[in-house]
Amino acid sequence: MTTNSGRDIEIFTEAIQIPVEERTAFLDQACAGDGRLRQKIEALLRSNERTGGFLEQPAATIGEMRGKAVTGEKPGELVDRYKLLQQIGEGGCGVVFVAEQQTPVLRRVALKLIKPGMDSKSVIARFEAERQALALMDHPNIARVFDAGATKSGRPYFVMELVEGVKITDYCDQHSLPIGARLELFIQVCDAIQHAHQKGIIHRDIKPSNILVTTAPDGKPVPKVIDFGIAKATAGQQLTDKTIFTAHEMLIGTPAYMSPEQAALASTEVDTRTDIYSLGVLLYELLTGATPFNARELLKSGFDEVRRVVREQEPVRPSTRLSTISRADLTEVCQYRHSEPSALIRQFRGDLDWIVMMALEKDRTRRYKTANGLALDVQRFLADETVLARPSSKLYKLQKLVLRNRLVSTTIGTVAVLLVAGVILLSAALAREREAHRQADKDKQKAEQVMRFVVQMADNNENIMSTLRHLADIAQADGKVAESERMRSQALSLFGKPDRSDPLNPDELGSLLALKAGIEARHGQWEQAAADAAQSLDYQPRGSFRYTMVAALYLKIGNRSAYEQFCKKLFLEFHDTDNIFVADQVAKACLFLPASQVDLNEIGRLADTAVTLGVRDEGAMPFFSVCKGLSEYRLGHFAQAAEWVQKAINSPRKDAHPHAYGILALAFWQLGKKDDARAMFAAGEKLAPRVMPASVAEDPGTAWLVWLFARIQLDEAEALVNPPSPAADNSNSQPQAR
Amino acid sequence: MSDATVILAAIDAGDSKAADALLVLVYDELRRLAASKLAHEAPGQTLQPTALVHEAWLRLVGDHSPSFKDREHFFRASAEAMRRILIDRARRKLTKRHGGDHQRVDFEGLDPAAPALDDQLLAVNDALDKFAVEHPVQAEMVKLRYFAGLTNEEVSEVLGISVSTAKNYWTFSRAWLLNEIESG
Repeated sequence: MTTNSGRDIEIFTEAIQIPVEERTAFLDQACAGDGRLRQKIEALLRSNERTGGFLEQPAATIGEMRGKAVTGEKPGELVDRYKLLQQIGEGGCGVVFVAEQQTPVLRRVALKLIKPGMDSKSVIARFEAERQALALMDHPNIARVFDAGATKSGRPYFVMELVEGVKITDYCDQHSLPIGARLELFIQVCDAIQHAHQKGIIHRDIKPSNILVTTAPDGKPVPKVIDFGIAKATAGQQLTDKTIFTAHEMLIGTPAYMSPEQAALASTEVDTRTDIYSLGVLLYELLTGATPFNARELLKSGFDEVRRVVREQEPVRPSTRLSTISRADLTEVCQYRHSEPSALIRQFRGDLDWIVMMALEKDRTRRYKTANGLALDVQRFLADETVLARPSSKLYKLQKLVLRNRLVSTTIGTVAVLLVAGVILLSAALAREREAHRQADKDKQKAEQVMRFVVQMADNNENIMSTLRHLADIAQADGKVAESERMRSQALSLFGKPDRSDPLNPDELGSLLALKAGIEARHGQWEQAAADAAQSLDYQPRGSFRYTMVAALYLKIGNRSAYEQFCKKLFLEFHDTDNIFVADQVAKACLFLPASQVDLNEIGRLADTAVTLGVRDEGAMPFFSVCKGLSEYRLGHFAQAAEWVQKAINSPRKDAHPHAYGILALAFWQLGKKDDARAMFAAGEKLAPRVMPASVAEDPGTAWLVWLFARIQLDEAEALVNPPSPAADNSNSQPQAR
Repeated sequence: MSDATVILAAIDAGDSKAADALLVLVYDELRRLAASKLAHEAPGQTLQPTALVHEAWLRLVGDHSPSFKDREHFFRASAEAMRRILIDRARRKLTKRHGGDHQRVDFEGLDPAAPALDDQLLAVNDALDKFAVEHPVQAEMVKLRYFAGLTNEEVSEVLGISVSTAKNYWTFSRAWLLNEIESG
């Protein structure tokens, strides 16, 4: 029975999520051969169509509603000049009816009956105080408030424009609205609040159930903010009455939307910025499906704790929230937003995070000044423009410029785009090698910064840059690669100009130089590449991921003394590092050649550090294994060397393979497995042929580095398996080492 | 330390009788609270089960950050207590209408006669017993929501399931119970 019970929930749940017309086919498959199960599911699906409000009201509340009916406010009854038709909603603060207004005009309105226990007179007095201002509000996204009064039994009531819609969060989920569409709705809500603020009205109780979405005749969703003026009229008591009971009603109600100043219970301090805060919470919920603070968590810890949390605790950013919720919930959040987890998190990271966090500032002077300001920033996000919420940084503005221009693809030339793409790929790929997943994001950001600079320069030096870019493009189209490259270099060199109004910081300069080195290397300009790569380290001495690059480039241009000096320097500085990536880079750089200037045992320890401490870093481990293999080889431990590099070859990290094959060929040869050595050498040659293949030269990423490292060890192996001497074909009698 | 705190500690320690003791304690407290609310508040006072349960929690256990496990026990006990209170009252009223019993009914004020709803309450209760045999977790969820007035979020926490799973269970449970009542 148990297995079956689980199964029926599963099938049922899946069936109600797919279109009706596809259900038969689905059930055919899901209940294959189990007629009883199928009958049962079908019966449940039929019942599901009819559940309506069944069980939705807690049992005790049913009784209580009947209690109210007896006191006079029930469908058919008259409340002053309003005839109650049917109940359409119920919330913490009262019950809402559709009512028919009899005089002076006949119309249908929404009548909200506030729950008893409040002092009707003061509620109505507060409402009257604001009535004139309320009457001035006229906005398509605001439901008008017409009237207020008290029933015979003494309950205050409010009469409002009847809005037949669903609450905004439900609407968005029901229609699986993607983020863009959600933001459009949110902007309309901000407009409504802005209008009210201009008329001197503060809502004070903005939350999803007070924003209903209706459909306009043209099918477009129109959010309407309801309950203006009601919170103020009723709030005084809610906020100052600190009895346990009221406190807990608040907990059940809207503490998640309560602003820090409201939590402080200082009702005099509430102003328009309180609404901005609540809009921030709304935006947070529209984005992530949750409020910044977990109402359940708050409920657990008591009312004072709620107040403390709202006032003191910094909420997690929307993107962080998504990456910390349970898998099932994340899947659901994404489904409702027509998106994928990684895409959604990426979409939130940055601007949207900043916008939300600025609206949620504890210190209201640091929030958006107006609802309009908030709306404008969201609009800027949608248009890929600079958002105000982001800490002001030139770099950041440039990133936006790139995005915008990339879309329009007019002002930014091909070169800039190529550069941008190149830098991103290069950095991301290096990051992969360097610190695997953890570091990839940081590098991506760095890449973005560089990218922004690239574009700022293009913007500032428009004339020179665009000329150079066009010339370079034309040269390339004509097949004049060298000339095109020269122009590009020239364009690039602009970035380094000391007389620029906005000097690059060393990090950015370092990154740009490394980028330049890559381009040069891919075009066979090795000398220049080596010089630029080395210089990039002057700017970024800690750019450890470039140690092997520089070492390999020195070897490539045959500058052995520079290589040896460089290794000595690296070794002196880092021989006792416990940073796995630095250890890996330094060891590899020093071990490229057999006759190293440094103590092999010490280098061996660095390789050990990499494979021991790096064992959990799955992405980088294959590269560490190569390092360890090379180190064992240099120490004469050939069997161990073979074992380590085979680990890399067996890993899915293809970019670790070419280098590994070269080392494996060497190790097999020394072990006397000459046929195996030749096979490995051939495999390596296939991945990294002597002449740099076009696929590598055209890859703006790290393919050229992978190729270069592999070539160093393959050349070393070739001298063994394929010696240039006439005795080459007599390899079996070759001495083991030369 | 209050009785409830001691009992909760006993439940944590694996004392099987402690759960019953907690139920009795919660049951009495909820009855007392509801009665006093009805006696002192204005006519038509809303009586939210959730509010009752939370107030009972505050009174019995207090606010000194009890463990989450304790809250879970407490909510389960509250749901069961509310169920017994409501069912008991519905049964007695039905009996009374049939002329059998004239004893004083504690919860009279809460609920002026409305036979159709009492019938529904009892029907749900009977169906729920059957449901619990096949789907114990889902039946527990119905109790927490329908009798203790917990939200999906609270239910998911008490039962240790995700909110989306709680929603799925809830949809399923409503369909199952409606089907059972209508076909039964």
